Amino acid sequence: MCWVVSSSEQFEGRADRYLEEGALTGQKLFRVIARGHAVEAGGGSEVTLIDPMELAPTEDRVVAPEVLYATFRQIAARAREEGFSGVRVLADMRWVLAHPLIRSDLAAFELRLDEVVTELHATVVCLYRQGDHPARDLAETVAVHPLVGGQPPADRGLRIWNVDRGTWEVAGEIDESNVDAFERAMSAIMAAGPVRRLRCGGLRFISAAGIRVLTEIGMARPDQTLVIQNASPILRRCWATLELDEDLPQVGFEPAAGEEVAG
Amino acid sequence: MIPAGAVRDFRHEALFYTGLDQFLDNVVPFIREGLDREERILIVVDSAKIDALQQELGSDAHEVHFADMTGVGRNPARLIPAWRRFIDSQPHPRPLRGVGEPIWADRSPAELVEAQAHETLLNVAFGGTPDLKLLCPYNIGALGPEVVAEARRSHPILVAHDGREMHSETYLHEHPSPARLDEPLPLPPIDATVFSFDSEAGALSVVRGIVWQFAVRAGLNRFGVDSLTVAVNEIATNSVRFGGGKGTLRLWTQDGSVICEVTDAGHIAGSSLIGRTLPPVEQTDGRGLWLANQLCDLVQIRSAPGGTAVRLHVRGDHE
Repeated sequence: MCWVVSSSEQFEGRADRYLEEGALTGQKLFRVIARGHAVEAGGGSEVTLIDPMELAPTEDRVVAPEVLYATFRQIAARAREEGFSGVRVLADMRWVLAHPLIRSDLAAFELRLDEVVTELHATVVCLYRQGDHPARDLAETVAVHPLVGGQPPADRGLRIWNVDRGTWEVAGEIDESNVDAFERAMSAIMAAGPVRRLRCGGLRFISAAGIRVLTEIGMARPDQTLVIQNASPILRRCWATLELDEDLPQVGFEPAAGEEVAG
Repeated sequence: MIPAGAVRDFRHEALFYTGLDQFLDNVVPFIREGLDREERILIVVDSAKIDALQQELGSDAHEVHFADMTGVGRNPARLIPAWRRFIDSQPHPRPLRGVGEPIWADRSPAELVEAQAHETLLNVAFGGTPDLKLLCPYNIGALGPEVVAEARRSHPILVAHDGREMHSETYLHEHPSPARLDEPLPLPPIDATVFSFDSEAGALSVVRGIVWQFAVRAGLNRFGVDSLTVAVNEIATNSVRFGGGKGTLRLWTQDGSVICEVTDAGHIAGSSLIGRTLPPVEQTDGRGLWLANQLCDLVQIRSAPGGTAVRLHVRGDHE
């Protein structure tokens, strides 16, 4: 989940409520924040602090993403051993991300994190402050979260998130105004591993440029099947009229579970 | 007279006939000649003529490919890709011949102009293609003299109803036909719905919303609504990218069709076959006009240095 706030007060109010909700459901609570700011930030005694600066920070004092992902795996495993129902993490992204951040790195980081969160069945809220990043970068960050709250900047109109290993969901509308974000997100996902299934049930519109990004996913791994699930009839028709069935036989279409296959 | 013999270069012939009997008297021998030479044959005419031809050919009809022109050629811009697919689909190279009747009396004026453009563009698309022979029947008993005159300009070889062949004295390879890209379209109706758009975020989404609502209210079926929405989005995207960053959308209904026009300040200076040639899968753009042609029942493109207008038609019985 992505939560965008405009002030520190708003941030703390949201953080406390979010952690209390986790405690009620038996989750072990973590807060990712620089230790020197923890007291100022508040938080109950049951909350375990994770200081990114103590996680083998890189030279620019930013934790390497893979180190953070490994830490999440460790705390999730330990929490289950201790009898918790799972983990709930409140990550203050001010202390996690480099500044200034490259937009493509931001999306890549979040998409990979989304995979880890899905794998661990964890609940993670990434808290962003409006002033920390340009509005356009934050808008693209919002696009790679399944849930968004707070006061997000201008919406880019699409969402991409991880469902299972190799399975991703895309929703919203893809056209000239945001196909660059879609392409960056899919490139980041493919760089981390193959896309085996793309669920499109919530995709209300996709332009020819968006379809081209889909073809690039298929072409990236010609030896591997890519299933596009829940595609709209018009997407399937466009795919056929572009003769992509013939060019990319490794890409198949599949209806939603329980839905009949259209002739 | 044209010397007989094996087909070498692309031959594009117009057959002038009156009535079904003259049609069959000429087309059946044309097909049988192709069968005798073991050529691949595709016939694209209306379903009534397909039935008549199949009856005349008997069991030989199984050796011939047939397609209904009222479906394949509803939008005449889909015909060159269909011929191209037929040419490319043969596993082993052998001569090809075809019969295509894209112009008939019931064509609307807008369709007629685009079908005439198609006839001219066949010369551009397949000029130099060896061992390809296309015969285009014209029912001169039902078509006006100006249509016949245009057929003489777009076909290098003319065939009379008695089978006599002659060179067309008025043939022009890529002539200034009524459907040239710089020929203006009739003005839209004064009460058309108008919306100006630009490159602002969300503008294309608004364009799609307007088209979608208009098409639904006009009674188009689901496929018609979605097809028009996708096609308009692609044309409007071209306006944003290449047409000065903005454009104007106009919508109206006419004779059971929804017509959507997108105008901008750009100029399409590419090949006259634009929208009729499918870009290779590796190519990053160039699919918008192709999709529009494949999804809409008629697409009219007019472009000059002063601006471009693309008019998309989707009929009430869209399939």
